[in-house]
Amino acid sequence: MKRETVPNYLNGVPELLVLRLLKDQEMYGYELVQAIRTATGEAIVFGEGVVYPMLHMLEREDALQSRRQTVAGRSRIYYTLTPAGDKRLTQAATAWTRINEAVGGVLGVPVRA
Amino acid sequence: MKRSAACLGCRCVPDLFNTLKDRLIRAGVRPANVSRYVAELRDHLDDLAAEGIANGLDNATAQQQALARLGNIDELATPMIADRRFQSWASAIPWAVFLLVPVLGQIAIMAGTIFLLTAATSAGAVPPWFGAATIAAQYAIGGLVPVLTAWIIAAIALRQRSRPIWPMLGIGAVVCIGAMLHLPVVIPAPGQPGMIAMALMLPALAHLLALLGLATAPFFLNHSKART
Repeated sequence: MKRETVPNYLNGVPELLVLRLLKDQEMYGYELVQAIRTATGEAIVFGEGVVYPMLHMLEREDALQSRRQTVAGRSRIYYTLTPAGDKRLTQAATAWTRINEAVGGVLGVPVRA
Repeated sequence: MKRSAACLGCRCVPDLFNTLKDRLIRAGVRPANVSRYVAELRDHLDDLAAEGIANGLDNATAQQQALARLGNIDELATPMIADRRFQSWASAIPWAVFLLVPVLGQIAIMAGTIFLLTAATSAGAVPPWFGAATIAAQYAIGGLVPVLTAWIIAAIALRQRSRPIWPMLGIGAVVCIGAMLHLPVVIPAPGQPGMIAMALMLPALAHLLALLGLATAPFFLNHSKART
């Protein structure tokens, strides 16, 4: 099964998506990855396991908090956004919008010889 | 069996997680981080395999697809290893964890013991338990403390698969200090002052070897366990 990876120019996008999706509701890792796949129409697909180092780091930086809950005999770790994470999301979203508009502007201008 | 779907049809999964765990710990990632990461990956793999089965795949195919979606061992290991914030102290500053802190701890215990013994006495007033306490303190400083400290060093080093140089230096240092430190105590007699001192003396060979043997026992036990 061929799996695409996140190109280098999308550095920071997975984090932005994670923060945005966890703003709406708490999720555990598998749920979160499926939410990313669904929300992006599978345009952004990566090795699903690599979401965990990102979650752990965001938690270390107080952007997320976690709680352990046993569901159907299995212990799951649910993540949710903190106020600091919400602020980080706002900053990241603003930066992304600015870059998106700038790149869109360049791509929208026809190249003249 | 707890690992239901993901464990069926493919024997490579435990190997993947054991290899990943071993690689991360050898690279200096904190064991607590590694355990949590691997546990979450196992659960994620179970969920992916269950999703595949629910979509009509057979166990083996669901397992293979789940593994492919989870990521290969390099993809899974690299983010944890590359981020220095996941590193354990024993990996980042081994000289401090295995040498400096144990030696300073040993000296602090010695100083604390002297302080407590001194505080328990006053001119002309020695509690009845003082003689027994000084003997216990001497055995602790010359035997129990260095051996326990060495075992803690060994436990950390073995758990984190550390390179042996700093743990061995640390164990050597605490053993030497344990064999060289002495706590001479003179209980005050009527008309004569007492004395509590800290002395550094050349170690007796038998004492040194005995401490060394006890201190390094965990390494030999682990080595023989690994061979069997």
